Amino acid sequence: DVCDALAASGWRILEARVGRERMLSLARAALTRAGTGDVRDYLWERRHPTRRLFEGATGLDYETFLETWQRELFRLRGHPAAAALLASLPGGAISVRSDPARGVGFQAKLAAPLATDTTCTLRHVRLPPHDLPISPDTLEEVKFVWPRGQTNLERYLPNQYGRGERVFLALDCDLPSIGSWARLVQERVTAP
Amino acid sequence: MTAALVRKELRQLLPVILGLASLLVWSEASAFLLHPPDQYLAEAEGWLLNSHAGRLEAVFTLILGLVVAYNLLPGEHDQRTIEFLYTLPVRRRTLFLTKYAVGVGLLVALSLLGTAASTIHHALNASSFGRQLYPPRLLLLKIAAGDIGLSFVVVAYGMLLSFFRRLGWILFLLLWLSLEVGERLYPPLRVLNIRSLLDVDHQGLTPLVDGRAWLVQGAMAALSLALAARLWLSDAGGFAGFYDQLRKQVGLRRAGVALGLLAATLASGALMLVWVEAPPSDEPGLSQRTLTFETERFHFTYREGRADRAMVIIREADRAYRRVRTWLPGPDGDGGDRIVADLTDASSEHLGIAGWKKLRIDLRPSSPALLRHVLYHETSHVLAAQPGELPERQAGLRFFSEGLAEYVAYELEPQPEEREHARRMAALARTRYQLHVEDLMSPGAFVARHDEFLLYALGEVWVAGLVEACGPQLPARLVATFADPTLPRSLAGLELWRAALQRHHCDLDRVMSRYEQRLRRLEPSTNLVPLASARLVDEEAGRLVFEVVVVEAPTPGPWQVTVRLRDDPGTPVDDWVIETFPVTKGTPQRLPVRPPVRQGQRFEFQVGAAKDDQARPFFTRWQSVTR
Repeated sequence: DVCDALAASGWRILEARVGRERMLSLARAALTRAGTGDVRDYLWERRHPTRRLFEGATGLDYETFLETWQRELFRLRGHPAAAALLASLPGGAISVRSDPARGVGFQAKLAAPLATDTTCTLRHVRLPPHDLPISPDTLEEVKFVWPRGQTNLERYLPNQYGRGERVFLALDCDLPSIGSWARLVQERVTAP
Repeated sequence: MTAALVRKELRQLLPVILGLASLLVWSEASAFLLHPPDQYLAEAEGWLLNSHAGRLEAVFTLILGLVVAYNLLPGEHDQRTIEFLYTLPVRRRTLFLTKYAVGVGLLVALSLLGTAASTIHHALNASSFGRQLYPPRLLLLKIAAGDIGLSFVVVAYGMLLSFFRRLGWILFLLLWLSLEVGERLYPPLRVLNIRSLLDVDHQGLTPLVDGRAWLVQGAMAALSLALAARLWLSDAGGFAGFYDQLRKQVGLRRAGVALGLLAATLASGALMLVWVEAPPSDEPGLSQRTLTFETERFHFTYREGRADRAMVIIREADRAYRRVRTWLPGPDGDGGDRIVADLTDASSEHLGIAGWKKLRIDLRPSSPALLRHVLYHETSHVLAAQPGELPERQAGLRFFSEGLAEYVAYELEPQPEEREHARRMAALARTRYQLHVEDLMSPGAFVARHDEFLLYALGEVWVAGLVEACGPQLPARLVATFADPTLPRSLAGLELWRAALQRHHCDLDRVMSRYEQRLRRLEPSTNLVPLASARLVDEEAGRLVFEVVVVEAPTPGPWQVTVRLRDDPGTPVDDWVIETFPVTKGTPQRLPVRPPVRQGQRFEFQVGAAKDDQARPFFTRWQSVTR
């Protein structure tokens, strides 16, 4: 959700800068080509890199736009409502752990306790012995409530993964302040 | 002079070079042109990146090595051009080794070209994961072992086998067969099989190459090369004369081939007999004499020592047939053929197994109710079998097939407690492991991770959902539809189900909803299913020590906890190590378990608890672990 929101902010800022028609023109140029599923896709992308597509469709310099986008995000961060929202987000040291006695899990020490009981999900999946992107659909879930007022928390998956198995582990929490899930930590580890 | 010899050998190998180069060009053209080269990740299937994925690659390289070796010396001797080579001022041994080196060099060059192409692939990959798939240390290992080391080994074997000309291929097949069967009988023999060279385990991302296999195969390759040198350089004329005679005399040749095939058949038959016919260890003293019994619908074979249990089935058989027919109607008269029922089966893999008008049942379970359940289950399979069913569709529909047989067996021969227990296990598996119906449609991947019984239990709930949503006639109609040649062959998974159900005016969403509802309703009672967990803590006196605990159970017990061990998902069930112990709830217990037969560096285990040895345990998923 957070990634989608970030991408949407880019389109919104672009529309504000160049107008709807040019923004849509970029969307059409980048997203509407029917793929062929062979080397032609690769060659097309080599001939039409993102920078060229962007500059051709919008007339803006790509680097300048990225700087503008970043500046705008910083400016939004300074907005009192945004600052209040960001301050409510959990912060501190959250890490994925791999403990021989307890298995794989996470440990968190928040800088400030959560204001409300928060539903979190420990997502995990066994990986093959090599690293490639994984589909979110394959993740298994263990839901739990992070009690309000509690800064230290840990959850482990005892005896679920054997020594030497490769595991992806992520901690997602449903944060009412931003109205969506946010991933607090994720890592690929080898079970101890 | 050596350079001239190498050029001459390369010219001689030109047809092989062109053939192998064509294969390489085709493969790379497919990778670079027919797929987007920045997304193609065929190398992710490679032997260094996947446990046990290199077995086929090793065999393929061995065959290439044999082909190359057969193009080095036999032709020279048959056309007598070797005599000219022997007039050159070069030692015969040098000639022999030059040929070997050129053969190895050719295979190494082709392998390196393939590795270079895949390295370019990785460099082009759009994903940063793809670009880092082969870090330098893995690339070096791939080149050293898979490209160079393996080439030295396979061409050495080829040099020896090629001495025997075409008989060498028969010898190769005989050796291959013996090794395959020998490995089944005595698993440590696997180091003699070429597959063991590229058969790796993993600790995290680190491949654990079997050094012992490389040592054994290296020594065998060196011996083969030494023997080949001795044969080719000293007795080549003698064998060539014999082989010429063999080739010229058609009768002798045919007799030789027939003798070879007969020897192969007898050898493998004898070995298989030892393997298959060995009486189960829990049947000492029981008469093994085979008896037969014919009923209206069945032809039974059983052992005299198990006559009492066989009669439980035989007395019920015709009734079971008629009752199952009410669920699975078939053509009138069924052609009059009886079902051949073998009750002499003894397997740790299954209680029964069925095929086209045949079934086998293991009579070792003592419970008459369980024996009758297995009879109804297997009879359902026989009567549901459709000759036109597509083999590729059968795998994806296995959960339906097993679920239907379970459903019919429970409907006709009610065992409410067992059925409820199986359904609770299904519900527990669904929530605990987030299993979806789609997971059941890939049975290979499913049983690599889960207890196979869950396919049966979840399949039975699926069939119950089908009946509830669209009526009791639907399962039999679906069986016929899945075998209907007009159902598009390309359909699979949920799309296949959607299309098949639509033919009977039934809706997939309705069926899925009933299936999910049933499982959800069972969720509160899943706490009645005992749950065990285990972890490997030690090794003592050649045994693996697990710390086992019954974590959830309705009573303190003791519970019967079963630990299952296997080398990998490909291990035959008969080779699994299965041991059962009484364990009290909440008390961790250290249990020594026999190690798996292959004794590799990694193995897999799962653990399950049940109230007694007749009840079905709920097993955890298979976990792999480094020793």
